[in-house]
Amino acid sequence: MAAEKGEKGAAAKEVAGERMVTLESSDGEEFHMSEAAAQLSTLLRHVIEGGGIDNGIPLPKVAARTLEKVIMYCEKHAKAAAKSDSDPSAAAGSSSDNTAAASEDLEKWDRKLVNGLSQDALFDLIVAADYLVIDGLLDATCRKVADMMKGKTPDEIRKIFNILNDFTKEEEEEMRREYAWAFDD
Amino acid sequence: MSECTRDKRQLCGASSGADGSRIGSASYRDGNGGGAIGVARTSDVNTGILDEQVLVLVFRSIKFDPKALCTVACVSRRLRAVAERVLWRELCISRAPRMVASLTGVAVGGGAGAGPPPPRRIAGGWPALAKLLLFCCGAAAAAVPGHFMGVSRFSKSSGRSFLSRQCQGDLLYVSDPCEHAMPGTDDDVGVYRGVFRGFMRSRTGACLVGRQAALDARLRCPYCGARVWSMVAAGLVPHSAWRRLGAYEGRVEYYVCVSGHLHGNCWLARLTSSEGEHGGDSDDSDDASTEEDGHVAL
Repeated sequence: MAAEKGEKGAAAKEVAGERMVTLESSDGEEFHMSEAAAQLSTLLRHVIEGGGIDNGIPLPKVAARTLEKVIMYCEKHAKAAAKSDSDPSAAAGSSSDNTAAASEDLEKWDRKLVNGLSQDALFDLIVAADYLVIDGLLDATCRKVADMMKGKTPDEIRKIFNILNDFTKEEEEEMRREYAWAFDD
Repeated sequence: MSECTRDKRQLCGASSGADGSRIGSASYRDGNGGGAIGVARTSDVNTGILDEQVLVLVFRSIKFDPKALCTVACVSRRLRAVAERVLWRELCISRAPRMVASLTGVAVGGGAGAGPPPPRRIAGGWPALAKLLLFCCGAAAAAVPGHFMGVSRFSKSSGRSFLSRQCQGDLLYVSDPCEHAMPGTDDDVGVYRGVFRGFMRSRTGACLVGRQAALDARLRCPYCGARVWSMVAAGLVPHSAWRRLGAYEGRVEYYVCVSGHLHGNCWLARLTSSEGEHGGDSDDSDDASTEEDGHVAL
């Protein structure tokens, strides 16, 4: 125990040679993730470096189903980073094709992750990624929502996001005129 | 959490119902004063895409693109309210942080990390200021239509040229003139716009009131719709203005609205090789460019 306490993060335990951290979601569920994956979150990194918490790290702002996705993302990206680090040809700089392909695969994986989410889950993931400070995940999730809005009319946006139009016809017309300026190229 | 209707938009400074202190961005939030982690949001119908935090994060990722903002503001009352209170403000700050800081007297954080709370309001509202930064309003009299600009340079030293002598203490930003050909003539029309800091407390404002200058019967501010004074009619156009513009004397007109927005035009003299007064000597520290962060709005 004394040896472990001296290490960074009492919440970190060894599992099969890999240091793990325990996280607790807002609804009381316990999750484990590798410390390497946790490092992708600036927030978690600070908590771990600061000595952590004995019984795990509570995340009252992140629900279980969201935390699950966060961990999936972090584990995937941590593994990908470890793989490219340990790739000797990458160090030699001779396999730029491999690294390009690998990063393209990772992007595909990210898109698949966000595409598979309901809107609610997507928004929750945005908030969680911001809270946990995971830039790549925040980027991927925000980009998905931005793409959903891109080039759409207000009415199309209403349909996509199920938003009630609470303007009167006159107000709608007035808004349209008031905001036409950004389109006057 | 209160919403801001259009009527109240200048007065609305209510915070957004933010929950707790955080590491990372979030400099946009007024905050309830750092609450503990875990403070639950009160029951809230504004979730998901209507959630202010989500909207800021998504729009930040697209650099507060004005087309997207204009579209979203037309979707529902809630989205219009968030746009008016937060999103347009963030666009202004991202495009011209020093100018916004100057106009509101509130230092604006660069984004990352906990900075001071952002300015809550600006005379005329944030949407009007954003439009002023990005849109050349044209000149109706010369049949020059308005158009989206994207990138402009606003200058305090330019602004000084537009202030009459007794009002030199005022702070006024004016853009470089946007030049348009006038069909049938050899001359160009220069169209420019600008904004006062704290217009209702300015010397210029006091002069207009003191002279009992009449508001123009017809014209309205193209940025916020308010009524305007003609500075020519009020006798408040200094020689330095047309010299600064490189315009024909007597062919400069501009208008100032009650919110402190300025818009005007002039007939620009074609420069001969011996004259080089256009532009004048502006010192960099006085200038603000909407391009200065490298974010060009398109």
